[in-house]
Amino acid sequence: MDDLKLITALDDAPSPEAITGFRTGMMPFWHPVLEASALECGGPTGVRLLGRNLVLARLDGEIVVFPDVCRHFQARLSLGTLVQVNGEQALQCPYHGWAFGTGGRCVRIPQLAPGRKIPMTANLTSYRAVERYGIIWVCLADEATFPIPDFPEMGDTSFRKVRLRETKPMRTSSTRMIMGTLDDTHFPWVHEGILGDRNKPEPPNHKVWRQDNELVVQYEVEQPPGLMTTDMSRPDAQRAGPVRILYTDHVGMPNVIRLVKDTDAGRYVIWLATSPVDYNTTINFWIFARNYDLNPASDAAYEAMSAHVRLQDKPIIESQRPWLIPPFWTRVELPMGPGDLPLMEYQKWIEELGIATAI
Amino acid sequence: MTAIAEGIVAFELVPEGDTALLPFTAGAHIDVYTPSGHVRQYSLVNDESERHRYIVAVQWDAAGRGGSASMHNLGVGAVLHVGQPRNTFELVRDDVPTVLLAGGIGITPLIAMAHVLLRRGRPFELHYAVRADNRVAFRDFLDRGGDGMACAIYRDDDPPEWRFDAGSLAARIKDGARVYMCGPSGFMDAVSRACASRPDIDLRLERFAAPEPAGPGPEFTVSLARRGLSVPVPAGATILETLRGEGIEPDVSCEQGVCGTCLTTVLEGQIDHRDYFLSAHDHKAGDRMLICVSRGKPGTTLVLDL
Ligand code: FES
Ligand code: FES
Ligand SMILES: [Fe+2]
Repeated sequence: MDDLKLITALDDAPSPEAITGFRTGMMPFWHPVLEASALECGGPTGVRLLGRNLVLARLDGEIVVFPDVCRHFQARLSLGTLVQVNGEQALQCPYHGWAFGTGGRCVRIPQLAPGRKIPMTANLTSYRAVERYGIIWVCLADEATFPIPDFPEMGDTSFRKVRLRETKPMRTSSTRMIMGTLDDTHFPWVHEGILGDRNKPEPPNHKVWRQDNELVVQYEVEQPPGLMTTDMSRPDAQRAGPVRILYTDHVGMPNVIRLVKDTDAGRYVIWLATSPVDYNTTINFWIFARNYDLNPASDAAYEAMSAHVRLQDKPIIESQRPWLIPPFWTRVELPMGPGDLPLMEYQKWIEELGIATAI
Repeated sequence: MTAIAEGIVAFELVPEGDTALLPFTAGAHIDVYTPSGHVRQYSLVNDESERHRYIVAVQWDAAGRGGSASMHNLGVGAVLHVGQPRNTFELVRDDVPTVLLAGGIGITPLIAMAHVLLRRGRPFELHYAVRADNRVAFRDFLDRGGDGMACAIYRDDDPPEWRFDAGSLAARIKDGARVYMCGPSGFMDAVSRACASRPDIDLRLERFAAPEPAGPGPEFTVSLARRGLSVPVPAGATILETLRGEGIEPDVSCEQGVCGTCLTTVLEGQIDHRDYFLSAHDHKAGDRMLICVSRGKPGTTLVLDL
């Protein structure tokens, strides 16, 4: 069987088709690339997105994103400096001092012979960038398929927010990262005692639907008492039994996920925006929001707990092969109904969006 | 809270203490954390110029999972947690002819739009389809009307010529109109289909409930060649379920038409493919199918190699 040959031939590296499919499929979306605070002094800063090196800077307040190569002799612009040219800020290449302003326009060539004009071809490609939720987002296409997904709790002052920045990128694809966060049948296995119980591995009854640009998953489940389910600042908290939770997961296709956990204590939100550095490298931006136990002194405990859960997932998600989610026709994976329904629905959509195309 | 029609209750939500309400625009909805622990989206009905309250209308859904019922059991003074308003159904501000089109409880965002249009002095049509006369919500507002509001209400128990008919409505809509529509999926699908022949219409809609998954279709028959068994597959069931009913347990995993486990050879009959596994080429060949989701064309007999 052809299928079988395909599968046994599979090793760690995805095929060039799969990588291209992923990079081009992911292009027309907004991707988080950098904490906005990193550009406070203007930059420049280099980031990598979908296999490309980009340079980010803030010129007179406006965020600019260019390929991180100078138009002249290909030096790295992220090694450059911000300068003033004709009263406006520009990014100056470290090699021969060419300078580029907003829109990628080349505004100065120090070597320009008198009387000559800067050629149009000296301009850089410029990508679109916006700041939202304290993060800079970049879209590599002319038009984004979907707007940046909503995160209503972020602007809601009744919620306390904790940010978690993983120190190292994850060695996985951002689609696998989203699936790993959406997946709930692993809770009793990987997060036993925190998010589940191995004696109760039965999957919940999922409701799954598409709504605008989101995949929405809703289910009810019982979890052990803890920071994410119980108001631990209450004196009787230690005696609490299992907690009934309503999960509403919003996947902002294809790269952002917001898990909303509603309990008697209130609401706990896990928000993850994944930056697809490349097919096998992902930077995660996490924000956790809660509207109970609001004492700032508690933040550290929430941060530590989140980091702990993340660490439980990390080796397992990084172990998944192929790096990229394979399309269904390859038969590489065997999703099982009904428990895996949310994952299958996510996967259907990324196939439709042209992100999962080959192995 | 006030009952405004059979099974529909309107809620006036005011902020606790002196917190200010976030402003909203017509067409916006809020997440409501219902007493039953569900999160539901309800459109804001009131005029967007109001800052002191949100008004939502909730229809009691007997088939629902308790969210609406728990809302209906609320008393005056109850405290509800709500999210901030979000609008995915904005009213465009220009001079294009405007039509508001509602089915049942879908009237809610359109009432908010009607307030705005009336205030701006922009003439518009409002078409509102309901099951019966006692289901008409916001009747006072609609009766009172205002200059420029042309309002038509259609009831399913009206004489046939007065009932809502997507086709004739689509044919009557003004050239180049913008139509804002909200209602049950079946209603919106019918209107969308009818408007397909009117590319000049800009149709905008808000979906509330999850659109029903493309569920089972009409009845057909399967016949198992190796067992000499023939059974009808009813409209509400899949081949897989039908076979299970006969005590046959085919090999399956995903039950979603994605994994290929239940791939079955088809010896005869017209297949209605609904899977994500086979290629378009395989679909055309018509000799294999995934029996967990795919079906036979209405009236066909599928002969399976089972
Ligand atoms: S390489 Fe940048 S100025 Fe020469
Ligand atoms: S069981 Fe997976 S395709 Fe039918
Ligand atoms: Fe996990």
